[in-house]
Amino acid sequence: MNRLAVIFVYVFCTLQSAFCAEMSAPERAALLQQLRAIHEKEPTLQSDFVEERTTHLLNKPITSEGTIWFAVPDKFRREVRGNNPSTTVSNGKVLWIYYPNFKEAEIYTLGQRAFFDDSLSALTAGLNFQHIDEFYNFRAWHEDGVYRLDLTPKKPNLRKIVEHLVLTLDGNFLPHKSELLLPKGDRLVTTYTNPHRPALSASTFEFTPPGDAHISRPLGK
Amino acid sequence: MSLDRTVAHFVTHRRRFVFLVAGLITGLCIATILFALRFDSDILDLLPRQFDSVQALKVSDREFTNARQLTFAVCDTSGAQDAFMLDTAAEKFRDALKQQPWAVRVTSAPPLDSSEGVGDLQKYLAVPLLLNLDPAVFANAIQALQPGRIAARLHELRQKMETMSVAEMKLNFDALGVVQEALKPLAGSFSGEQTQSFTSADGSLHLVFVETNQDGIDPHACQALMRKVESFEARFLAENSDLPVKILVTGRTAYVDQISRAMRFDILSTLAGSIVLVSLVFYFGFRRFWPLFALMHVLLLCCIIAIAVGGLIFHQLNLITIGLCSILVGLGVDFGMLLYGSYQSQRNAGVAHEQAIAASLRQLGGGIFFGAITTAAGFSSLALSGCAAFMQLGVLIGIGILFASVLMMTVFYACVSRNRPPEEHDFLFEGGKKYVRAIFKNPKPVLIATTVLLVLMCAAALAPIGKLRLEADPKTMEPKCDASTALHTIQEKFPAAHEPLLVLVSAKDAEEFHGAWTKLNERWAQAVNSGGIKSFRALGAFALSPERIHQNLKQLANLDLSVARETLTKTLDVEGFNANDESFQNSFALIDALQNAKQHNAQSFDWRKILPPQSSWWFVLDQFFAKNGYLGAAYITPAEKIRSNAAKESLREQLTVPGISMRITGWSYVLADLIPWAKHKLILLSVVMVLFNIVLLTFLYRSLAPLMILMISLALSIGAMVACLKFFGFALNLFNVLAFPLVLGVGVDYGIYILLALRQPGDKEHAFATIIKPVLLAGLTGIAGFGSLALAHNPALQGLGIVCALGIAWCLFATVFFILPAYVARAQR
Repeated sequence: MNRLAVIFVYVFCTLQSAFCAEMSAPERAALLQQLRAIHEKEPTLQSDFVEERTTHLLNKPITSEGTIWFAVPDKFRREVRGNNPSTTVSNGKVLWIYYPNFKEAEIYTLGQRAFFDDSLSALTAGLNFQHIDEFYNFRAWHEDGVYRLDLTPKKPNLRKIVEHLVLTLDGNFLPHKSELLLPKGDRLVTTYTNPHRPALSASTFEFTPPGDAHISRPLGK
Repeated sequence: MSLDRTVAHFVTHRRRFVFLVAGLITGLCIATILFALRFDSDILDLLPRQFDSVQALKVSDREFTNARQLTFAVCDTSGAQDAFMLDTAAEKFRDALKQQPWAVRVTSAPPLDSSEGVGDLQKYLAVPLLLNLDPAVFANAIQALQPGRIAARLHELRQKMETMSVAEMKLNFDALGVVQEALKPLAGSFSGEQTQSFTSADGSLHLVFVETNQDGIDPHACQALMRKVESFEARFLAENSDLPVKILVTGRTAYVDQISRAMRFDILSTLAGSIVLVSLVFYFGFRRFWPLFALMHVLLLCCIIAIAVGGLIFHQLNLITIGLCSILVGLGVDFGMLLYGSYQSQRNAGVAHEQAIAASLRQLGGGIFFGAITTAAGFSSLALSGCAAFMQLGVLIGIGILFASVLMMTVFYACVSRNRPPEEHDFLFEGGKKYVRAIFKNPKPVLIATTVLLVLMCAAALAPIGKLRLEADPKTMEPKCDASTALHTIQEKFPAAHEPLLVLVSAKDAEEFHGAWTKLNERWAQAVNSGGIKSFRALGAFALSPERIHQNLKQLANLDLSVARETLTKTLDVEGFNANDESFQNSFALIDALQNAKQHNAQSFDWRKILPPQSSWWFVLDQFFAKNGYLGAAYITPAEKIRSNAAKESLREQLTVPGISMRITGWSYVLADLIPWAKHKLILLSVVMVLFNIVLLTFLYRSLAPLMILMISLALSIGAMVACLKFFGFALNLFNVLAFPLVLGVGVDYGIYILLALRQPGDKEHAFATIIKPVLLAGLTGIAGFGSLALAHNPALQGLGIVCALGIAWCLFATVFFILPAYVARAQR
């Protein structure tokens, strides 16, 4: 299954590259410069998303939708709607996950467990390009005003979490789609709609659990 | 008839008998070497035995470090930091290794990073760990197997999967929530952040471990296996030439293979180097081949006798003793050259063969005898070092030197041709004669110049100019080989691979063993919290308590596991989980394993018996538990590096729990013992050697002044040697400090020869002129013999050779330019 998924992604990328113009190394460097410049100028982002997760643990894929708010470098808020809603908030130091159905809030201190931090950076890879060349080997294509970035992890720890990542950005460098190929053949495809760069207040990235919530620390202190 | 004339008559007229006896001795010795001698390539045998830390290190090496385990490092040579390529290469290498008939088990990932490892944990290790819990904790843990708890947990995790959370991780690792309870005691056993990974942080190196099935662990078995390994490596790289990788390998087998082969090379290279250099010196001095040929045969016989006698005494010889032959050649040839020089001058003076032999024996027999005794004493003083390898080297050379002195005065003469050597212009003799004449004319300029030079050198040795480096780490004694390079590369890339302190814990039975680990875990956790130690790693949770298991089995009897199994099946279906997935199959296997344990079958919860041989967990457990008996190990990282004996004792106090049998070791811990030891031995052996020289020379000289001159000369020579070590930046290590007594023992000989010449009746100037050439040649051959050890791979031997060669060079210089003028000046006064 795992090998099949890898083959699928490579075949997909090869076919895509046959029709798109692959960017040269200087072009890729210039692209990164542009992305960083935009982040400096407009460091925030808001978008609705639809996420489809295929996992070896389940017979069928799971689809969820919601809204994400992001601020460079590592602040974000992610609200999932539907039958199993949740709110995930990170201020760069602490991450909260709140499950209203269970009245349960999980708290994680960032910077203490490498695998957890790497997972987060993988999941926000489509939004943050600051250290992308440090953590990934990447190729890029530009066609019809759309950019496609094909990323493979450089660091072994990151490779345990993400095997392959394909990002699609529109002409304004706003995220359109991200496809993560995970170990054991798992996949995570996120499609972004209505992405824009509003001014966000600091309180967006802070979270206080409701008084009746049970608070736990799944990874300890 | 006097002894010299008797010997001369015998070796002249009974040559065949002499050769027959020599042949018989040679045959006996070779048979002894072949049947009674083994070589020991263990680096740890270089360390003195009297320290508990050293003994514990040996126990650890013997009982824990799996003697048949090899560590491979797949290295990315492209420099592209391509984690995908490196992982692919490591996986291919692992799969190829698994196909090898000599590989029992192979792993390329920590057990918890591989699905097989997680599966083995749930199927085989979780049950013993669960049953080993405190009964109250166990009662709580098995509540997770109640049907309601199973359904609720899986439902909650399924819901949480829709958001970004650790739900998937929990399902992958422990769907039932039982294993996490079993592992809790282990979490307490690993303090600090101790993430284990088989890939280096920079992504350039991936480790693969293999347990081999080699028959024995002797050098021949190791060499045979490593040839197969090398062949496999070459095949793998050829078949995967598209992968930019290289393979490194280390482990005991690789070390023994390479060290044993290096020993062979060292024996041949140092011996050949010594023979060539000594031959050149001899030919330079005498321009004769036949006596050189005879000398070498006698020296070879000395070496064979020394090794055979050593084999009978010690049964196995360490890698250091391979330096024996080259040292023996360098020192033993002195006697032959002195005797032949004297014999030749007699023959040149027209004396017949037998009478020339008698005259040379009369002139030099005493000096050679005493010289042999001082040299043998110098080497034998190494027996006081407490270090088996150096003791062997010292005793063997001592024996060899004594035999050399006897055989040179007998067998060598039997080999020398009766034909009178043709007279040729001997520029060395003439040069020596001119120098002696000049000294007799006015010894003061040379004496003053030499004294000033030597005093200045001594001042430089004592002054804070430059620095005499001391390589304190005993690991610098490790022979350089590919296996050590591989190990150091791995240690560089994996800082955690640097050896921390090791604590060995032993007990009489399982219950005592369990109790000891429980107390130690508590004690060390407190030490971590108080900052006494930085961290520790121990697997005390695997030390099973029969009492706890008995109580927990009683509790387990009340749990209906078939209902738990049925609930799991149903819930997986209801929640839409893939029941065929490995993660859930492992949960079923865990329930089955608990069911099996309920039968109260002791085999079913002893992990040593149920864990499959291929399991990667063995690579972890073998680090912490000895194969047999109740012997375990823990790894401690001290808060600060141990730099003194006080720090060592303080740490011991922090780690020790009264009533528990434990030993602390590790290289840094051993070092705290070895540095004072080396300093003590340097002083002790040097003092013993100086006292021995004084006693012997007092007996020989029966006069204070020449004795003083000789001892001052030795002191100045040692000072000059130290100054040179500083200037050239050559480091002293724990073992080449032992060179000091050797230099004292060997260096004194040249002074003895000079004094004996002084005591000769008749013309003193002629006596000195006759002896100066053989002394010069003897010194040069001594330097050549020790200097040839620089060719050895073994750093201990190499260092010993270089320091001794330097010391002897200064002793020779002082003999010619200080002792001789000083004696002459005193005689003239």
